[in-house]
Amino acid sequence: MRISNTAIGLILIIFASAVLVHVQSFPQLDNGYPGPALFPSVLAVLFIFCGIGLIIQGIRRREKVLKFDLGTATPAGWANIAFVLGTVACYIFLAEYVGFLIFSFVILMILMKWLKVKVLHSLTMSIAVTLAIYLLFAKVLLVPLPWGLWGW
Amino acid sequence: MGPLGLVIAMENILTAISLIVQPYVLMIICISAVYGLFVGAIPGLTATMATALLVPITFFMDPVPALAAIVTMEAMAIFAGDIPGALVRIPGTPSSAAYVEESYALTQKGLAGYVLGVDVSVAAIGGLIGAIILILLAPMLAEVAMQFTSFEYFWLACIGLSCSVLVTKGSLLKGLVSLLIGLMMTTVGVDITLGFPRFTFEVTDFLNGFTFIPAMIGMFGVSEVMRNVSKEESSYRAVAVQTKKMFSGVLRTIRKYKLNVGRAGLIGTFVGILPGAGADIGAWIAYAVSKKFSKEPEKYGTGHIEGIVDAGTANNAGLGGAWVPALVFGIPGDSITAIVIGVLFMKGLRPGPMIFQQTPEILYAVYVTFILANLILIPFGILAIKAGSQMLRIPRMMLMPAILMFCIVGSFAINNTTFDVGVMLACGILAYFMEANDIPVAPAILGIVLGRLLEDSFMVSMIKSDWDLTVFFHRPVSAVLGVITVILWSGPFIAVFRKWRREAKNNKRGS
Repeated sequence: MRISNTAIGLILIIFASAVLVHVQSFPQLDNGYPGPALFPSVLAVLFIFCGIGLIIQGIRRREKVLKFDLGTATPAGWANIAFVLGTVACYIFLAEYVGFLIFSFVILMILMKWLKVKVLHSLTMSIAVTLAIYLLFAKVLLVPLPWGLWGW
Repeated sequence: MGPLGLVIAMENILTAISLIVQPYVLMIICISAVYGLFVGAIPGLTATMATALLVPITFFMDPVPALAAIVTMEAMAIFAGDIPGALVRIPGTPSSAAYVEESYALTQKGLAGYVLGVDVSVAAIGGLIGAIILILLAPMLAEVAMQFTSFEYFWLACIGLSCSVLVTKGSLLKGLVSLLIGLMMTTVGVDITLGFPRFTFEVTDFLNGFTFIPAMIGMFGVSEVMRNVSKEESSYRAVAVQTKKMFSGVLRTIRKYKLNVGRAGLIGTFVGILPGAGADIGAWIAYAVSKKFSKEPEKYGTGHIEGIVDAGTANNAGLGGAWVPALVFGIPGDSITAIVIGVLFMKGLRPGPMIFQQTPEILYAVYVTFILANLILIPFGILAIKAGSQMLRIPRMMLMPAILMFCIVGSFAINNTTFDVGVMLACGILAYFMEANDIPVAPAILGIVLGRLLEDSFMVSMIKSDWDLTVFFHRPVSAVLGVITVILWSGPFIAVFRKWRREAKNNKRGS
């Protein structure tokens, strides 16, 4: 996803301004010297300089400000990206209830189906990856993977 | 180093060898070698990504096997990147990009086995040159670094960060934006002066700041998965490699170009030492230098082995170089050592001159593994070349879900919270967006690793000196480093100013 330099510059300036406003609420050192706010403020000012620089570049190249270009990825590619991100979000919200073994197997099957992998391949891969992660993390490294409501 | 120093060094090396030559560590080295070769040989998976995925596992190990795993893996991965370059004209890692055309042209002449034989040999030689320079240079620099105080560390962090911006390909401005993003991320969490929680928005998970490993997995793992699934599956038609008499002409070639090998080894190592510039930039520079000083520059690009010898040596030499500033100053030389330093910090090990006195066995373990990894590179590499075309036949879309699952579990494993999985997701999206808009990621990583050091050393120095800014120039070493920083910063401005003057002159002449 590509946006114009001008737009990036504007985003940076807005972000930096928000930081500058927010750091006003930070406490100062006893003798009135800047404390926790100093470093973020310096960074925010530099962000604003960069933002201005990018806007100047954008104007010099006569870019359209609202250029929005999906880049090299096709619409199908974007759907794939959304699917990948969705998987991660699912883990955050569901894994605790479903349990790792079931979650990993099911989500890998769905993802590979979506990415058009042959069924036999995806079945072996899903089982192998789920078991490998389980053995490596849960058994060898003793990470408490989410067990879920059914203890899987 | 006096005779006593020599005895101590020998003792440490023997300790290191005894730490490495153990069934458990050797097994780890073999597994990471295979892992590195696999990741390197698959286009779209980089050595940095491999490090990010390896780190959650090494996090649970002792430092010696953990470092041995990473050193072995990177040496293997950077060589293995040459395999798909020669077979299907796609570099396996960015470090092989400089000579892909050349390798493929030779493959089309039916010389795939010969190219890969040269590749694996010069990679091992380059790796050894880098390792030897690391072993010789690091202790010398460490002696200088012993005298450093918070003033010098502040300037060193400045130089490291400036370098990472200056070496970026493309726009300096975007490199700077990347660096600032990384630095800004380190301001989240409790601050050093008052213990005030900054930008935490009442979320307790944020008090310690962004968790480092999930952030790295997001930036190098998840963003890479996103990029890979967004492209059509490409079916390669890989050439089968004749490995039988692979090395027949190799020795002659290396003997013929031995000066090139030496020169490229030095170039690669010293580019590797520069913070932010890694194996890929080393390979490009070595290739350009090779062409410039070659007796037959017209042959470059048509399938001439000379450039491959240079660039193939340089990228593996760069790996050792990158560990020099990492071990001596705690300033990473490339993205891989940046991740390593971040993880050492988390384990309470602070890279820097103190490591040479307090835990020298870690240091010598890195040295010994570097030598060992480059020696086993040849047999392992030959196996990888044999398996090359099979590895390329694995559908990418089948690997990506598996990698994603490893990313998720790896991020989760560090603190056992789904919050970290969220951090990984956010950093993945950020890195994807940055790369899509030509904002390089490497300066951001250096920013994340060095941000705290930069702020803490500045604030501590300021409070020590009651806000007298000139203290940064009081000590002689500090003053020198400060002047270097100022020169680095003014460079781009002078360049812009000169360009303006030239343009103004041209305009006058035109009118």
